[in-house]
Amino acid sequence: MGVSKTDISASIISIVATLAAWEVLTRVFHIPGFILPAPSAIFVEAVTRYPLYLYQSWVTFYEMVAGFLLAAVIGVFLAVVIVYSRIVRSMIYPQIVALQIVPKVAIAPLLLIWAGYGLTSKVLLALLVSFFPIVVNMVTGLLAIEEELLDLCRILHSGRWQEFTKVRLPNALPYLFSSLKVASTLSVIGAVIGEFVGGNEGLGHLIIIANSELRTSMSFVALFCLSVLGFLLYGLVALAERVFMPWERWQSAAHAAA
Amino acid sequence: MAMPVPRAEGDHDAIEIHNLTKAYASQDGSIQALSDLSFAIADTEFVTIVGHSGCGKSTLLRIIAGLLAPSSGAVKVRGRTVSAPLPDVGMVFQRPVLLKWRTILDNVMLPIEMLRLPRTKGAERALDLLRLAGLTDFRHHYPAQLSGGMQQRAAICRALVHDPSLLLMDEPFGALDLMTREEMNFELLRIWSDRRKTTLLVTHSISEAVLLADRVIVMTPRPGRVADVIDVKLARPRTPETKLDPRFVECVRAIGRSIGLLYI
Repeated sequence: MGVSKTDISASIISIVATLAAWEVLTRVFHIPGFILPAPSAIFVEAVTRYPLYLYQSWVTFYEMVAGFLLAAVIGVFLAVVIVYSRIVRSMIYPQIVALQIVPKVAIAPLLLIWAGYGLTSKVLLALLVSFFPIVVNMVTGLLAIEEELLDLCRILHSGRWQEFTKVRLPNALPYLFSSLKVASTLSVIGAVIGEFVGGNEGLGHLIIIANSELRTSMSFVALFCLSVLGFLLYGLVALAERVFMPWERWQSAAHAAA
Repeated sequence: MAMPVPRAEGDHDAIEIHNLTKAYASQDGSIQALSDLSFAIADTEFVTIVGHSGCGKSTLLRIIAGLLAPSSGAVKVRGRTVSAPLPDVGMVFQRPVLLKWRTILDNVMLPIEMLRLPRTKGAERALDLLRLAGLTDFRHHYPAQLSGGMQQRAAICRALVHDPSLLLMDEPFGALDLMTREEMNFELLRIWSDRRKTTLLVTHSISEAVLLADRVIVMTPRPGRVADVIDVKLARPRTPETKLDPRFVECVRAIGRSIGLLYI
């Protein structure tokens, strides 16, 4: 899992080389800016209008984080209910799967009707796109307990609450965090879909405008901002994972040695 | 430390097993796991059970611990019929099954927490046991940082920390390599001679069974029955030299014969 200095310098070199080749190609072949702007033009666009991009990034980030957090809370709650109640499981599991199968892009216009053109519809879309992997992984994690541990709980008269807090929940943490990583990247998609379909704020909205005005460098800056936001949320989740699961470091070391 | 199961009045064996039968339902009729099993274990006695894989040894341990109900017959622990999981039991499984997110000390403390026993006294006992098992320096490590043998020693500490009267061990060293296994045998004997629990250990190693036990119960393949009971009259403490004692060899032979292995 360790990242060495060679790894870092290799990725930096490859990024710089790609940008240089891109710059050279656009100049040599006189590619018009509205088809493919040069990296330098994109850079200029970003620097000269950075307050705009900062603000729109903030809007989109707010939507994705809110959707993501709601997805985490709702996903974990649903997973616990699914694991502990057979009736609820048979009632809601098929609906959750059905909801996941419907393309979210197709639901987006409906959500706009219900929740309006403001932030709420975008938050709801980010939530819808990202909660499914959390539910599924969390259910798996809560159920993946060694038989002997459950025997031990019964011998020690742990009761359901202690079994849940002391064994099932911590056991599910690695599953939860890997699903949160997936969900964090999905929430970007949800927020942008929402902004595409309707609204007057956010990076997705910016891309629509840039496209209609053929200001392609603007699109590129917005795209860049989007990937930065995705990275940022993913990084925060990875950081939380390290804080909440300090033992995992040794776990992976033991697996590597085995 | 107060134990949830008080000692019943009168003299009782620590464990009494009367005509125990266990059948499992399966797709083609029922499978007879245990058939008319009867034996008793005295207080502080160390008894081992040997038999082929699938002779119902683990089923027997789970019934004694109250994790599984017998089809007929009864198990009495200290004179009381077992009908629910018994906290008076310390259980060690083939795998250590430690909680990987807890340090070794916190793992050993799990029974204290779950049974809601006094923490300070519990922590004292936990540290005592860890010292006895040679794990003091590793008490703040995570299980993944320890070798398999050390993890299993921690699991034994966890089984003893709430001062149960019975120690049940289900092939506790079956997952370890042979050399570690030998070491663990003497390690267990050392801990046992310090704590003197009534111990029932299931194994499929004949020499391990003889080395550890006061008595060896030999079980037949499915359905599990008592084939033979062999008294091991070897002095304690047992040492690696014990294995060279003619009486040790005689016991191993006797077990081999009743299991159906041929020894000259």
